Amino acid sequence: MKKSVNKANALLIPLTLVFVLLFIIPFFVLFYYSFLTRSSGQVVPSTPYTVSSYLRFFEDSYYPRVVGRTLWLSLLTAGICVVLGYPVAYYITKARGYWKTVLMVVVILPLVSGVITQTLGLYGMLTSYGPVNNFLMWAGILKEPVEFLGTTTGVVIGLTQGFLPYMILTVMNAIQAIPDNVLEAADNLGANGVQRFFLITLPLSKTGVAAGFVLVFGCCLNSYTTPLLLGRGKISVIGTAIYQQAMELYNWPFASAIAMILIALVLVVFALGNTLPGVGGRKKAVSG
Amino acid sequence: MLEIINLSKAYKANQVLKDTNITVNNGEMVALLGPSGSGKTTILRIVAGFIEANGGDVRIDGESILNYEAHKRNIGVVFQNYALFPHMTVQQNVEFGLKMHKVPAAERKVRVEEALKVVDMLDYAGRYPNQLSGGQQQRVAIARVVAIRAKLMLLDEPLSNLDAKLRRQVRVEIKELQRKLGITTVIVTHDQEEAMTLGDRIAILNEGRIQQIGTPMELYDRPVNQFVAGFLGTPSINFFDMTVAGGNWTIAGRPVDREWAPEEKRGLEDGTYALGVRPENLELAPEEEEGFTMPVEVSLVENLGAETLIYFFTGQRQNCCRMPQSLYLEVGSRINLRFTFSKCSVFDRNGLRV
Amino acid sequence: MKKLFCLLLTLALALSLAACGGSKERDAEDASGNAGGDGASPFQDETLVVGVWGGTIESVLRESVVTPMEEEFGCNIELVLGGTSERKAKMYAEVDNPSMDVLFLNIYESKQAVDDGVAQEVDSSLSNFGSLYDFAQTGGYGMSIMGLGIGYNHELVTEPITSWKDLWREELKGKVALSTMPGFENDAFIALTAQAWGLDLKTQEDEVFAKIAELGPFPLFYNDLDELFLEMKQGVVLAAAIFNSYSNDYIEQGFPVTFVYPNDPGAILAKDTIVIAKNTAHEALAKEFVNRCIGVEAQTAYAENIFFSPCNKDVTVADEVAKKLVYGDDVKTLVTLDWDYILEHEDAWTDQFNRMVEGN
Repeated sequence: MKKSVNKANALLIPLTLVFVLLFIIPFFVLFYYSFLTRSSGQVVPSTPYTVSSYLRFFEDSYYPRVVGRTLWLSLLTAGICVVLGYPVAYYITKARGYWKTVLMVVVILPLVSGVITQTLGLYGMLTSYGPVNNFLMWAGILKEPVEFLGTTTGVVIGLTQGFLPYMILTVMNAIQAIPDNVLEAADNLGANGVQRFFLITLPLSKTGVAAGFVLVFGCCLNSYTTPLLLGRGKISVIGTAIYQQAMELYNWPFASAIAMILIALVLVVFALGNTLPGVGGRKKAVSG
Repeated sequence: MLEIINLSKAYKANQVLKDTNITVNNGEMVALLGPSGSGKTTILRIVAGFIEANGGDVRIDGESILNYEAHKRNIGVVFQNYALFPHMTVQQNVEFGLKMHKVPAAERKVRVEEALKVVDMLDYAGRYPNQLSGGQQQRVAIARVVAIRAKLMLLDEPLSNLDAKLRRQVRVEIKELQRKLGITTVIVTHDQEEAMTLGDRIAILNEGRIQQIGTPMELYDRPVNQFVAGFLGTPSINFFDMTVAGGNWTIAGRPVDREWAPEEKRGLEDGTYALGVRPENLELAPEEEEGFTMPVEVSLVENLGAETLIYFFTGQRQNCCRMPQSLYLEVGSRINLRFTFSKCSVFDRNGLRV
Repeated sequence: MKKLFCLLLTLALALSLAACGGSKERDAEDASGNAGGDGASPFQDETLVVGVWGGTIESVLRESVVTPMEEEFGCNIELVLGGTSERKAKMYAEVDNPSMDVLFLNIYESKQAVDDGVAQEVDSSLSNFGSLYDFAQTGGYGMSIMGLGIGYNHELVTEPITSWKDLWREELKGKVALSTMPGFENDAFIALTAQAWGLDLKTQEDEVFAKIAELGPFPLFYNDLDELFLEMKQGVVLAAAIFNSYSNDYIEQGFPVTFVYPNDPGAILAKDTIVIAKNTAHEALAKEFVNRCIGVEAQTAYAENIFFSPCNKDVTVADEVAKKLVYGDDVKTLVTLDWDYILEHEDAWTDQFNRMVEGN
């Protein structure tokens, strides 16, 4: 028994190393940097230690607003992805044969094509003279073109388009994990399709929805290209702010401080989310 | 009463069920027994409404149910893996069907308690399925069916996920429960022991066809064909090559004097046959005994205390003889066997009982 | 401890830069074309790594400098392609042991690098050095001149634009695009706004930003010229401060855009600049390379092939080409900004600009 445990531990070493190398160390580097001082002529910041980067963040409401905007965009996008992604995921899991393959390819394709290509494509679609506006005006829904680009709406559309596949795949996974027998049992006990969906399928895929939500939310927090391009440089989010500070102004301490504050906020958000009834404790009893 | 009439099912060219007819009387428990792929689960799923039949009819109390959707049939299924709802407590699992049938809350409470009491799970009402053992989960699955007062209960391989010891215990429980409830039941299994102990009658299926329906003893003693004979019984029945030429018998190469052959079978036409002899219908006989005996060399002995299984070869075929006592025999020793011809079955070249 | 962190960051930076810095093109050409005969070349088999932009710049550089030098000396010249901010970050991170010997930067990046001691001071003993314009002799070696002027849609703007102040016309309100901050264009735009409206940048910064904000609401903060020209064509944007050299391409493609060198103040001088890394192991070869880049031959090739205006005074080109360059007397009209002051304030300006964008 002891031996097998040791073996299992040994198998974890590569993963642990990767994790430490890619996540833990950079995290502490950034944490350390956030208390240093930017030195002119050097990318690497230096002492004296200071909390001025943190003070600067809260100096006025600009950066808190950037963070707030990012959180809001991310939550909104994740929410929209749930609403749009769930039915699609459900439909695909119920599809069969060739048609299912086609649908899967359609979902996965955007993931392979790269963020920039997609975003540029979307940029073309969403311009005030682009096909979306033309269609809406042709259909009589709009009288005048609406400017999507450079607005939060445009950014949310872009983020949703970019990250919806993650939601669909995660939810699909969860729905597929429900044994057929369980659904048949519901049928058998007298549940019609609607009842079965809301009482069995939906609750049992809840963890998948939660996972998808977290995934999309996290991706949105990190997004840079989409807000930059579709926001036309007007929608400042954490990604663009950190890029500006770190890569253009070489202000790693401040960029690190923004990142630390973001991480802290995300932890708080998830801690709060975990305490909500029906999300935390009970899941354990079901899945364990 | 459940009537399955000329039922057939095909997936494209693959005919998995052919013209099947079974009648299950009220309160009766019928076991569908067969190897995997024999079509037994297909029957159950058609009756439950999970798949559609290609032809034939299924009637309950004379009324066809095939046009009703699964959720309107009021047939209770106990699944192989129990299929409890993992996000609901035992209480909620049992109550689910009642809610779906719009039973008022007060009555629901009573009936859930009743059902849980029947399966002796009342103390576990607040638990989640993953906190229960396999046997307990199964009882909850049965309670779900009990609670909705299903007209018919279908059990799909209900014991196959349990370990051997528990299986025997649960088997007894299911039988008692079914008797107590008086519910018409169909149980699907590939385990002949299970079928024989649980089923009032057994329907044996092979390759999509019913081979024989009858009480366990009918099937055991008078199998209609070699498949049925071979499928029931452990250790399984011995087959000996038999030829009849000019009224003279030869069994496994040994001639049988005309007067020793069983009277009712003396009229057999000339030809080759298979003689089916169950292990318990072979006995030790003294070497000099009159009548047909067969000298064999013991290849293996299993002494089980109350009985002893003696194995021997005729040609390439291993046979078994069951002695109802504890016997000590050396492997390689030679013994003489006597056949109880009255209990033997003779099958023709097509495997059919003669 | 600190060393460890520096090392890790350097590693992380190098990795990320390598990942996003474009393809590293190895020149597989053999050194067998060595024309040196018996006397071995001083640079035989040496490898010089040069950081430069990709695209047409790369090909003209390869044709006019890299290939001739490799054939003559039997050396290897490897071009690492990418944008300047990554290049500069890498140079700073690798100051002790540079992976790039020669780097092409913009006007203030190179000046800053020289001031910070990351890049070498210019060497006036190079044979072509004396032919450079004065402004091309400081803060790195000038490679090509660019003028920041105004490009505007001449189909939709009713009256030709001639001065920077024209951007504040009523018909252009909400139709002037700026680039994303920070960057040369905006740094320059802030400084020239002050000059155009007679404001003192040092004491009236807020007024300058207020003046810029008057142009709003801004339709676009571009980080890509394709995007800018597309929107200029569509009329979403009518005018923007852009470089002459970059606009040539688009105008040639048929975009309805006119480029002008506005007055009051004039067009803003910018230059592509070459610097040699402080601690390069191939100093002599690097200087030879630079000397050829600023020589008449390469400078002419730049002008004729990709319309980059020469920093070498001795270059002469046909009138047809000259029209597209900042050339001859044009050069004298270019305004040189106080980059020391600008860079010192870039951080604060970025903050202020960000807030202006948000309130836009």
